[in-house]
Amino acid sequence: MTWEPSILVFCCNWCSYTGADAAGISRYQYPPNVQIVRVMCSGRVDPGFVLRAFHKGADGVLVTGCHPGDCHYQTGNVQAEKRVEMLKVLIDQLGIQSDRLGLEWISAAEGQRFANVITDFVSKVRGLGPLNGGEGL
Amino acid sequence: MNSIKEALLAKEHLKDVEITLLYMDIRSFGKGFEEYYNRAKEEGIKFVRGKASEVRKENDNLVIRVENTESGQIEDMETDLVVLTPPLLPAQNIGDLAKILDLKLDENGFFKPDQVNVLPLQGTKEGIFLCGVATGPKDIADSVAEASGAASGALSYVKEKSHPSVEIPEKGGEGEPMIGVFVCHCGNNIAGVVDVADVAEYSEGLENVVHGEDMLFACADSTIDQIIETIKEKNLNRVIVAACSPQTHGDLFMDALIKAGLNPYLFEMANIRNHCSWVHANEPEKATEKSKTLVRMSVARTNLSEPLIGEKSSVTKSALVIGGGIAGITAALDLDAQGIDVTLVEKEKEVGGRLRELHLLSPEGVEASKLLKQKLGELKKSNVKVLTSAQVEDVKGYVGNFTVGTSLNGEVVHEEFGAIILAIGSDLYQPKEFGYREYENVITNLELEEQMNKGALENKKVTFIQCVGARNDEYPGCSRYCCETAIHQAAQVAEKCKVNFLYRDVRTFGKGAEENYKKASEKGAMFFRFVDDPEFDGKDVRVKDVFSGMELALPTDLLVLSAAMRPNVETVDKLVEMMKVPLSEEGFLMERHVKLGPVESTIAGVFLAGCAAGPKRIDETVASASGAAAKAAALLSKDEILVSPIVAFVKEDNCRWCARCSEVCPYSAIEIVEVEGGKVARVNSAMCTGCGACVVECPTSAMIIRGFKDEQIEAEIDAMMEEVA
Ligand SMILES: Cc1cc2nc3c(=O)[nH]c(=O)nc-3n(C[C@H](O)[C@H](O)[C@H](O)COP(=O)(O)OP(=O)(O)OC[C@H]3O[C@@H](n4cnc5c(N)ncnc54)[C@H](O)[C@@H]3O)c2cc1C
Ligand code: SF4
Ligand code: SF4
Ligand code: FES
Repeated sequence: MTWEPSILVFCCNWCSYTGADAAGISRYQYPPNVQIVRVMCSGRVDPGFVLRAFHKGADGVLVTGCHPGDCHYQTGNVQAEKRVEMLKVLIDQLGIQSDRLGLEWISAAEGQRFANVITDFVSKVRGLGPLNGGEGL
Repeated sequence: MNSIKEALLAKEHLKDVEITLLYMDIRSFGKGFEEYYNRAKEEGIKFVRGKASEVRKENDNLVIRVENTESGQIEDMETDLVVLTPPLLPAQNIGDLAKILDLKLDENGFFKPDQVNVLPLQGTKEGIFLCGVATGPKDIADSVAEASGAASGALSYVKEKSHPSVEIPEKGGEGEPMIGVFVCHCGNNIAGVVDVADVAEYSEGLENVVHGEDMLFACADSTIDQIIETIKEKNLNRVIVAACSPQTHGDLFMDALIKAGLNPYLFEMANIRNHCSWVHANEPEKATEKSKTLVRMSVARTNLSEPLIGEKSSVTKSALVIGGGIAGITAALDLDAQGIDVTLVEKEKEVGGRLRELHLLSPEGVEASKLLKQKLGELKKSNVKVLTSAQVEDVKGYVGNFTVGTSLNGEVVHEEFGAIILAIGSDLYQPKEFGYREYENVITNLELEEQMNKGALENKKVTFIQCVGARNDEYPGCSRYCCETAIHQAAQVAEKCKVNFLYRDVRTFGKGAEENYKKASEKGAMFFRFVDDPEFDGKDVRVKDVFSGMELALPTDLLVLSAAMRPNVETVDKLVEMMKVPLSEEGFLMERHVKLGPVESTIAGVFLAGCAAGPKRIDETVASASGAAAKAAALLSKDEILVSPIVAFVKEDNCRWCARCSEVCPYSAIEIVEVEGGKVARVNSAMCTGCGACVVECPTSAMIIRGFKDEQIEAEIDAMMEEVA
């Protein structure tokens, strides 16, 4: 069997989760390599969750939330952005390519954008190959 | 529109199928429909504008004779399957019902509204209300908005209202988890791609799952009863439905748990439709695998869930309506009729909105000024508190308890409201094309209303151009109101002028509009269909007429541009800043669900009326405003509501008051309290919104968020990475 990446996507309840629903409603197709975990806000994504996903063998993690200024809780996405930047440095030190972690803003109406973002991220991670060898916690 | 949907679905299911759609006009005027039409074209569905005159059988094939109205040619088309799209007709027994209820029917045999513009939902007999396809063909979104509006009308006659209060079971989930998994086919929506029986069977092997079952439509009434029965019979104490989105259907199943005596937070949804079958339609095997993973993740999370109950919160029994156009006025009057305190805030010196600028209203020619006068009279007689030259400056709080600051005469006053209706209307596109603002004989349809208010036009050559600023790359949506109003204008102008009418599709879908189209033609208005944009040099409009194929030069004294409705950006931006209301792709306020919740926003206690949520005619505006009022009234009739139990709380033993949580909390919901042994953080659950920012910040894992505990999310991650057994 050819290798296929496993990717975890965090969606916030108010924007990107609904954006993912909207992609479905309009039938925008994207690769099935992603699994969505719903959280109330991108600011709820604990760095520990991201590290745990890589530890368990996820090939990529994508954090998604509302566009800047649109977070339902005002500043959650600002927190998320800070944490993702910090995490990128950290995983790099741990020997995981920082490109395996992504951050994207998707509004509740952007079904097309959701599908595009996922498609692009999946092909990026596919290009990086499986998380193995030098990488991993 | 339905035909476009079916064509696209057929294309998805049968890869190599060739689809041709014969049409007269593409009437994709609903929200998001135009984009859908554009996609159908991209997907290779062929659109032929033409009339089929016969279908005959030749050898084993069907042959359709088509008059292509664009090329003027008669063509024979061979096909394997012909799908007919018959029109919607009045219900068979509508005549009998009309007799029994003493209601009048219109010329097409549907129920006749009392006044098309302002009382679109009131039948010709007082106290009887109409909604949906009973008054004429329409889509689900409009039918649902009308249904709420009709309920609002009916409620204004009901004096005593009581609310059966539902007790939410506080308990459930004790002992070993006993999980039931119900996998939905959603007709063919899921089962057409995912092997649902396989997913249900697979679920039975997962931790603590004691029942796995697939069902045709999990949300059907009879199926819900069946789920309730199964919960009782098998002593289930946790339930998973693998189906669509918790955003649209979560509440429905949570109610089922309540009926079965279980706390609703012991319920979980696995979204195998929107996030799986619909988006992986061409990879059935992988979609089935992914569905199993989604169910496995839900099971892992559900094993750790616990009963939750929100705190009770009082409801301030008053409503705020922002915007005093016909939508705001209608919503305010409806609420007033139900005995609710209403404040109506209008930023201009007078209420009335767009109506103040219009002349005669399509379809029946009612005078806008008369209609407005009637409404202002009703407002005066009512108890509605009207604030003009006023603006909302800040909004705080949550459903049932909003605190709103309104500026009036340079002073900001704060007041409490239980519900808010947004009726802020729309703006009009300011054309950059056709020499508008360059030649003085180019005006918008709105400016034409102004001119007609001053007196009838005479002896002029008037040309109309439709879809200006709509249905293009920058702005794909159809503006919906403009075909009908422009044709109504054209019929009036054609009395004494020569009228040419240039359009892309004629979308006269409303009641009485098709009749106005005929009237305009009879009065001599000439209709030309264009694909490439016309041009204007100040004297002649040049256009290639699609039917004759000829390049025409139409001498024009006055050019009228039908300008698209656009979002009222100034106010919309402010609302986004104050209340975080989500917007549609085109920038209008977004509804909770286009079909299921067209008059509600995604924010609890905030409702949408009129053109604020997208272009509408007046009757549609009025229907949606009554709908919004009905929803607000239902909320305000309750004495107490339960706030979401998804809030943070502190395990005090672990907390050492480092204050990091309180620094990140955007709602100042965390306070410091003295307990034995020192200071600790405490969350005010009425103020906490459950965002979870504090949980991530806490260095000692003292902060927990109910319903989204660390362990639950970690369990999901672990389950995702497990191999399918
Ligand atoms: C040229 C033209 C012709 C038309 N002709 C017809 C016709 O013949 N038949 C028909 O059925 N429909 C017609 N329509 C459509 C019709 O005008 C609308 O459906 C209707 O007026 C919409 O009402 P509304 O209350 O939603 O919005 P509006 O009438 O736009 O009212 C919105 C109100 O909100 C106020 N507001 C905005 N922001 C704030 C704020 N921040 N604070 C307080 N107040 C605020 C505005 O000042 C305004 O008073 C026509 C439209 C146009 C443009
Ligand atoms: S962050 Fe944690 S330890 Fe610090 S005050 Fe808040 S709850 Fe207590
Ligand atoms: S969950 Fe959000 S709103 Fe609630 S206390 Fe924590 S930071 Fe504040
Ligand atoms: S709610 Fe979407 S990022 Fe905060």
